[in-house]
Amino acid sequence: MSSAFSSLPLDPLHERNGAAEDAAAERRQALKSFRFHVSRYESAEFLPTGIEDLDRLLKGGIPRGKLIEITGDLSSGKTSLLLSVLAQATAGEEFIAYIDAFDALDPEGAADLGIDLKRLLWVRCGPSAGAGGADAAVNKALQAADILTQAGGFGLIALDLQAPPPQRGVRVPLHIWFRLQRAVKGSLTTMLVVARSRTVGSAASLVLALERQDRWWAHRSSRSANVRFRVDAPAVTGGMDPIAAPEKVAGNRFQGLQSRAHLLRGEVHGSIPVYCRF
Amino acid sequence: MAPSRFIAVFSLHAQRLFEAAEMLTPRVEVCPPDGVLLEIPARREQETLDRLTHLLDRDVRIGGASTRTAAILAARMAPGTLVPYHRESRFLAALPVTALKFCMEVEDALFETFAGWGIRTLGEVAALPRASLVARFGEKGAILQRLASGEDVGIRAGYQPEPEFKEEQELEWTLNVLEPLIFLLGGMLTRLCGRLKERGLAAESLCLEFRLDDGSSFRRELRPALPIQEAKILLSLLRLDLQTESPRSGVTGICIQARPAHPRIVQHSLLQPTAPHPEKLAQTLTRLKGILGGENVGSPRVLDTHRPDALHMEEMELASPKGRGKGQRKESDRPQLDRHHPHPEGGSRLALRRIRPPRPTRLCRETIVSCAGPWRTSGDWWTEGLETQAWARDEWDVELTDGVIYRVYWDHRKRQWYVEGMYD
Repeated sequence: MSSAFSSLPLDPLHERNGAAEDAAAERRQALKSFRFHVSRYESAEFLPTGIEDLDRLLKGGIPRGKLIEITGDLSSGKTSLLLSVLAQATAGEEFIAYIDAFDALDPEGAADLGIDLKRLLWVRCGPSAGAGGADAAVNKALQAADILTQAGGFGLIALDLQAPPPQRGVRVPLHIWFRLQRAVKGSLTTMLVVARSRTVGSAASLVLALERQDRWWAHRSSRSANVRFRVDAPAVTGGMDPIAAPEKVAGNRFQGLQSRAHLLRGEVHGSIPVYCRF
Repeated sequence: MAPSRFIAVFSLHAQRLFEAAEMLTPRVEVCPPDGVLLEIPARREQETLDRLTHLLDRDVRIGGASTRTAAILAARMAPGTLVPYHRESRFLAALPVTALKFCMEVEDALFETFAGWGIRTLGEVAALPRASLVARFGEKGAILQRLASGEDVGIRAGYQPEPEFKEEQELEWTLNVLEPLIFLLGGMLTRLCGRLKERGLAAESLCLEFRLDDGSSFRRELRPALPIQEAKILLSLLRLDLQTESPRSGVTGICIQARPAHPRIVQHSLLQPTAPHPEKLAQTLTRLKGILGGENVGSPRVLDTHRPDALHMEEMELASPKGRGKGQRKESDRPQLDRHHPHPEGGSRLALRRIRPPRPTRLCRETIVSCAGPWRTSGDWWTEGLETQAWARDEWDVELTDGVIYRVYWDHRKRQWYVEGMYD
């Protein structure tokens, strides 16, 4: 607040020197932009992403009642960003739906990321949901998205269309996206579509493209580097299998990714670095 | 206060008896094993008797009196008798002593004692000196004498019989098409839900049994996410369910049974985040399950094990943000996330995208750019007889030349590399 007003010319002499009208106009403009800034941050029209820089860039977070698209290659951090947004939504006691076209969600990892699994409706459309290839899975996912948007009440509906390699992107007719866009328009539900390449087209109100810039590999520096060592404790001890006996193995460690999020479509444009770590 | 009259009714069709009695008066007591006792105003006695005979079969035994004891003995010993007001003792005087077993538990030895004394009727028992009876039989003697005089002993608690919410219909001809079946189900559900609503209840689950023309039966069980008392919603859920799996041959009879439960009462708040409407959510989940299968729609639960990808799906519940219901997690158990203090260093946690089932692969040293590992995990090797559940593996994170960072593992038991997922 102080920074918003500190730049205002409040010197009365300055106003008497013939620049009074300009100063008043400037003050009004500053006040207006300040109010706008505050209302955008405090309103319920945005859902925070959990990444402070990105929220700042988006003027508060992801807008509600819109169709949002997140794209990028594999290992660029799209899923991490998506789960971060989902975690923020469940932290706000909202119910969320995850339409998983290729059955890729890791619930254990999602819980570690802070998602309240009791508030998550997981809709699995992958191979276990019936016969058919990638196209059948995507069709089912779109059908599920249509049903869920009509149901209402979900704070966030995530539609994950990232096909595993060697498959590339998916192609969906544009009219389907406009149908989904109209279904969520004016409601408090946000639909987040995650795909490897742009598919939503002009129906998306905001497009975030993630581009991987770097990744970190920590080489063996200490014997305690490996933190993911896990062994289930047997109920009855004795006769342990030598393969399964607890044994620390030294090695390298994959630490995380650094990506850059580009805002390709929306009210604002720009790009910021995004970090995804263990 | 107008004097009350008691009507005792005994019938072999106990359930029908209870339902008829409930329609006539709220003051219904049960007379085990096959009777009920109705307390009604004296002026409505004749009307009640007429309605009872209209509602019930002819093989019922009815008796009326101003006391419970006299009404029960009248129905048992002289069916169709209405004992006039204050004439109970005169009516009972002629009845045999053994009639007392209809009012309380009496040993045969006691009747033998009475027979030894030459006492054969209730009138003679009532005429005995009470002090002598108490001296010989204790408190029981006094109770017996009061019953023999037609007095009520003790307080009988009102009994609310457990109603059965069931609708059955036999069809005149076989139905092979879904639409007319839905039409019939609609009528049955309307009646069923009407009965549930009268008691302030809702259907927690619906059991359907279709009798088929080949002599077999087709059963379905519908479990909405929450108790529902609207016939329209239950019908749409049934329609979706039957569209997914319909009877394999013609239907000749239908039976619907509802399991009652108290309806969910939610107090809404302006400050509460939006949540799906419970009844609409039930419909949505049924539609999704119809497309994807029941096991693919729900809330995931992580099992308490280190086994990779150990989870099971549960029905999604709309937990109330305030208050904690049975089976809900404590506030402290829930993942706490401060919305205004995101992950340190301005980033998020790294997520893994799984490939289900893990895909067997061959790793070439030339295609690996970087790697990290191994992380050795194993478990369930101590469980005998469950060899397939045991696992032992070394996990590696590898970056390949295509730029993707995979999690792969070496399965010690199968001697094979697998791709478990990708970091994204």
